This record gives sequence, structure tokens and C-alpha cells, in this order.
Amino acid sequence: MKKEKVILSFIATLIGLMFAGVAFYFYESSKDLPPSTIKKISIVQPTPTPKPSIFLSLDRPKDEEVVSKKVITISGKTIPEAIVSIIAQNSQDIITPALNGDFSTTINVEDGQNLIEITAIAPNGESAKALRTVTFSTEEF
Amino acid sequence: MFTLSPVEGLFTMRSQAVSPNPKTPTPANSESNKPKPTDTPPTTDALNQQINSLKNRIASRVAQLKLVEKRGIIGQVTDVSGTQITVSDLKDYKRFIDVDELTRFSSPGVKGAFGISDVTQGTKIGVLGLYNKESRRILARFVNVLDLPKIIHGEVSLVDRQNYTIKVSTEDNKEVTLDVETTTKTLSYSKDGGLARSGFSKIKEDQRVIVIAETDSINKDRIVASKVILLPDIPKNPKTVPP
Repeated sequence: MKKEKVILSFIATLIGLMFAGVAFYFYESSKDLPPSTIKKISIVQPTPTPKPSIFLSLDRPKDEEVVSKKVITISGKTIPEAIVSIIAQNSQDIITPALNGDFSTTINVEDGQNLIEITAIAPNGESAKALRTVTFSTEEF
Repeated sequence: MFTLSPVEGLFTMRSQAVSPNPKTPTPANSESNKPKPTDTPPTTDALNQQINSLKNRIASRVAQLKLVEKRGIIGQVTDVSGTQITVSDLKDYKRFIDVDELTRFSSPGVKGAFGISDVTQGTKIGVLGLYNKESRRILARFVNVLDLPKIIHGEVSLVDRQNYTIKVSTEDNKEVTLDVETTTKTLSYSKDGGLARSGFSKIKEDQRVIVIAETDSINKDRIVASKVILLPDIPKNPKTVPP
């Protein structure tokens, strides 16, 4: 008897909830909202940073390298269409890379510190720059 | 006071019962007391010790050599204190340089004695020394004051043919006025002909250029172009905004 009462009250609650839910749904759908109260959410796509049309990676020389020979090799990679300018204190050169973008040349360095600036310039005018400090010394320490 | 728990006592008794191993008396004239021929003589021991010590020294030297390497840097002095120079290198990193009694200082403009006390803030120096990879400090052996040329990339914004000057808009959106002298070398680059001699008359506005210039020794505001490389086939850098 007690068990039946519990089951019945449970079913009654369930039916009551269902009715309340349906009534709430109809009430909400019949509601008219002024357009000003509706918030519009727009997802703004982040604008991607334009990729540079040129890159420059240097294999040699290592930055802050100490060399004991006056002639050093400068090698690296860039885009095949670029030109590469190599500017040091007393020597300048402009070269074109190979079809795969590899480039290599030699330059003379002066005694002491040499600041070498390597710049790859793309046909559209964009450029990529790298600096290397190379020190010529034969001193033992 | 010495006390024994019953368990410890049991173990002691047991070990006493098992372990007794009476030593057999050694005869006085036993052969075992004499050194065997296979035993290492004391001279070999000393030699082994020397070898081990040498091995350790070599190992520590190798470690030291790997830890320390020769390096040369360029930087602008930001601070000088005692035996330390702090510089800002070309990548704007702070670098610490230690100097000692073996460090040699030089400056192209100074013929007499030049030392750490002569190194002032803002001076551009080149340092050659031993770089410690662990402490990231350089023990300087040579410190030289440098007068490096300026390398200017940009476009010619104005050519003053009367005063022999050019204005160049740089890639960092600045305008530099450069004097072109009779000693200035002007070159022109083309993909077919490479670098070829050119002249001041060939410099045109909006032309892409690379200029190697030096500050005038008398008038510090004046920049003199030592080399002008014209790149007529290369367009303006799209990132350059005329000032």
C-alpha cells in the first residue's frame, strides 16, 4: 500500500513537470522580443599576418667566430629569385643563388672584428637581413 | 650499560654457534708470507697513480676546452665598473666582459697608453677573448675601440646635384642625408652584368641603393658615403614608408 503511494506520487510529479515544461515552451515561443534586445554575436576571424616573400638562413660563418684565415666562406639559403648582397668593412659582393636557393661565396676579412651584413632581396623589393661578427686573429691564448 | 633483548640474544647465540672458525696456526717459515712473483712492485703502483692523475688532468682539460671557446664580439659600452665592461651587442643583448692584467686595450685614435679607464659609455668596442658557456661571460684578451662603417639600405628620395648630396629613405622609415665625394665609389648592379662602375650622374630618385658610409671625423653630423651600390632593377621595399 505504502509502495503504491510512493510510485503514484512519483508518476504524478513527473506528469506535472512535463505539463509545466510544455506550458513554459509555448509561453517562451509566443513571446515577441524587440530587435534592440537581441544581441548579435559575430565571430571575427583573426587576420593572418602576411607571410614574407623572402627568407634567409645562413650556414656559415658562425656568429662571433674567430678565424685564422683571411678568406672566409659565406653560405646559406634563400629564395632562388633573390639577390644576395654581402657587405663587409672593405669588401662588397652581390650574388645570385642557385636554382635551389643555395648560395656560397668567399670574402676577405680584415684584422680584428669584421661586421658582415648579408641581405637577401626578393624581386618584389622585400628583404631579409642577417649580421655576423667574424674576428680574424692568429693570437694564441 | 649493555643490555640484550631476548631476540638479539638468540641471534648472538646462534651466530656464535655457527661462526666459530678456528684459524689454523700458520707455520713461522710459511711460503705465503713471501711476496709472490705476480704481485705488483711498488714502482708500478706509482706509475699507475701517475697515469690516473694524468688521465684526470686530461679529462678536466677537455671539459674546460669544451666549456670555454674563443669568441669575438662587437658591442656598445653601457657600463664600466672595476674589471667588468657591460656592452649591448648587435642583437641588443647585454654581454658581460671581464678584464684582467692580460687584457690589452687599443684605440685607433690613441697612440699612447689606453686602458679600461679610457673606455667610456657609448663607445663601440670589439672584444676578443674566452667565452665561458656556463657563465656566459667573456674573459677579454683584446679590447679595441671600433669605428665601423654604416650600411644603409633604402631608396633615394632626393638627389642634390649642386651640393653632391643624396637623401636616402631607409627601411626603418628614416631619412639620411649623405655626402657624395670624389672618393666615393659608385657601382651599379644588374643580374646580367653583375657589379659595374657607375657615377653620381646615374643616381636617380626612387632608386634602390645600398650605401656604405662613415661619419665625418671633423663634423660628426655629416655622413660621407664611401660606396654607393645602385640596384636599378630592384623595386622599392614595400615596407618602406617615406618619412
